[in-house]
Amino acid sequence: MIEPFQINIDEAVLADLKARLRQTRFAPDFANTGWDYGTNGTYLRELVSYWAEAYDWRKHEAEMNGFAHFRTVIDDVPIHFIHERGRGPKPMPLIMTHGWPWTFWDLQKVIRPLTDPASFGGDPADAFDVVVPSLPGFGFSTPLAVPGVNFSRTAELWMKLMQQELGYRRFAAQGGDFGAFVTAQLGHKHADSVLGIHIHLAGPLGMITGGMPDDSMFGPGEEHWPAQNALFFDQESAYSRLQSTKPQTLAYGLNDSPAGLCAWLLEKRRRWSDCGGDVETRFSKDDLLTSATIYWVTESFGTSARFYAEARRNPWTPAHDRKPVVQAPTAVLLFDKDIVKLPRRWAEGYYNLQRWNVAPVGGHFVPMEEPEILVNDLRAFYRELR
Amino acid sequence: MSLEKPSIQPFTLHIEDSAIADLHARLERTRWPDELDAEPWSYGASLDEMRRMMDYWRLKFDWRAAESGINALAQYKARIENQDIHFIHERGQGPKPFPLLLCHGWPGSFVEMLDIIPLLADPARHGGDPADAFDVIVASMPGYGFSDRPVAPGMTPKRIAERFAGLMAALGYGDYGVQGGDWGASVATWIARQWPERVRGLHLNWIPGSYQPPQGGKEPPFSEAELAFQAAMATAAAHGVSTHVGIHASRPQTLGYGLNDSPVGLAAWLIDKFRMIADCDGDIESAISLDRLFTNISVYWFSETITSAIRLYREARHQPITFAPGERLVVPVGFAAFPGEVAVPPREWVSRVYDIRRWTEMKRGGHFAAMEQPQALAEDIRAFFRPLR
Repeated sequence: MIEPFQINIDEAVLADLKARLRQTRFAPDFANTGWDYGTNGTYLRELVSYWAEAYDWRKHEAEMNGFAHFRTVIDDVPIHFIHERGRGPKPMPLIMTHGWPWTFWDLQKVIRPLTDPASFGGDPADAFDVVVPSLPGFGFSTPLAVPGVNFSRTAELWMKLMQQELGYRRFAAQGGDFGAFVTAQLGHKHADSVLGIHIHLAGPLGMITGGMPDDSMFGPGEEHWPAQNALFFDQESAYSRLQSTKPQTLAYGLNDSPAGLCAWLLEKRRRWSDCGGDVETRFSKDDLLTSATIYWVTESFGTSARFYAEARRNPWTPAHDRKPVVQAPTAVLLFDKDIVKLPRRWAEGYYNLQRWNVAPVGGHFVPMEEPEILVNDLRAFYRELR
Repeated sequence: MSLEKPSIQPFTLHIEDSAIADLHARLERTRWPDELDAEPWSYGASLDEMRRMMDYWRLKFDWRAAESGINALAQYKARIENQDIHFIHERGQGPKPFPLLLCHGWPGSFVEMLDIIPLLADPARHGGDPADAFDVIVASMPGYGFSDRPVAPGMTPKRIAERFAGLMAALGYGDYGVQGGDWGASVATWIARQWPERVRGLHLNWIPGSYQPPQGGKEPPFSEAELAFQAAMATAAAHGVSTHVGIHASRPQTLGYGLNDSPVGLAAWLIDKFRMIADCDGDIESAISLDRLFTNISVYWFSETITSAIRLYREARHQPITFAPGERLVVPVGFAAFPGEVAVPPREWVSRVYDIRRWTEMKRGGHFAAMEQPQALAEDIRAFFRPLR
């Protein structure tokens, strides 16, 4: 049963957060200006000090509550989502799925341009009814007390949410990071219900457990991608192995130390975005801390990290053996500075690929980093499918 | 004779009351994560077990008692390259004590050696022969325990070996024995490799993870047992046994903030590791007492060394223990193979480089030999060094 929901964090939780931040025992750092050993101590201190003394959660909470929020429970999984109706002659329903270490609030900049294009210089014919859920175990889709909820099961939850709870028989889907896997699974298993999928990470659905396509598939303009991919897997992926095997061991520290949580999330925001090493060129302090605060106040770090373990323990299994694997019409929008990119030639065989674009700027956190590129590409792709 | 003989000062461990009070305040306000009703330990450290053990730390563990136990041993700090090395130096009780440097690892510290020190320094009091007595030196690696933390990158096991060799020289020991497990095995190997003329014997209970025997040239192909060992190590890695290594060796600082700020975070990180590779069938207390575990964890907490300690993995990454075809370690080696290890290397794998003079299949015990099986390890160390001293 769907119930309207407003975000209103207890004052005691916020006071406890500030108290903890002020008593942070910072790990000593040295010889780490390039963040090679991980999160830089000087910047972390600056950010934590701002979090404790200047950051205003209530301001961001009010902005969040400017959207229509709801909660429901599907198959024992609590689901929080934003549901904004489109303003146009015939809004198309669109479910947008975020990734890790994102929250639903990473979609904040694109929701209104998509629901109300006319107010943002667009055509009301392009309007969408936008649904932005929090992934199970993330943000306000908590507490998650059911094991085995991987991205495939999340896709089933989304089917029920869109069709049974919200009454959308057919709908569009969009996602990046883990959200791209959820979205691609919808396009694989539920192609009849999905008008089309739009993803900014295009991998095989079995990528987490089964590996990557061959390097020889990379074509013109993609020559440097194998090296970028290799760099990510070599230098930046230990968190993924850890969260895939022992998320709970890590959760003790990060659920107890807001500075520790912030350091863990911040490293990804900086490394994975197209920020040239200065994270604030892509995310303001408030952006970074609002995201960290959502993780903190919902105590969702542990369950968010567990999403990796569930993906690994419950490997993706195909629902059919038709080709392409993903039969729904597919748009892929990649960003050259993103961390992992697969070749177009490969994607053409795996997806029912209708549209392929590569943006020269922008990294992993697309809806926050390059909302306009995303919005324009979404409108253009779905215009053909309306 | 070097003019820069390091200054050596006696050291007594004393943690301020305020630090103990702060620890207790943090333990009181622990914000526990939730957990699935899945198999305990299946997603990492079990919530019920962590709650029970943290109750022990908060309510029963007596740091002052642990501190007095440590201070019952003679401790010093030696100034080497402008940094203090903390070490224990217990003189042997016997006719001719032989100097022996014990090298600890991670997630241990000098605390690993507390139980074995008296067995080695004063064998007569522990059912042994005073002729087997050692002058025991236990040095804390830079960035561990009460040694200074490094202030520049590059503190690899090889450089730690240089500092420890400098310490032994400063103590006036011209030749000596070295023993180690875990990172201590790497440090000990580097000491033996760089100063074979000083190291009379090398006793190991672990072969360094980065050790790769030479291949090519006239080196014989790997045996079936060696291939099986390599496969077992790879399987263990795939099952998360070495998950910590990946994060330690790439972004240790990121992890360190949470562990240095949250005692439960630190304890979970260390206990999960102890439980996984001790010979304990999932019951860590059957192998190591809670008192010893929390003495070790408290040393990490009070010294704020978890981050500097795990950064060692990143420093070491670019300096694996490899050998050219034909290259050998010339120092006599004794190896105690503990059955509870993730995988025990076949003798021929080790013998490709190490000059194995003694190879003992131990009856029980795992990765933390000096903590789990101090008596058995002490007996093997005595027997190995008897013909070499």
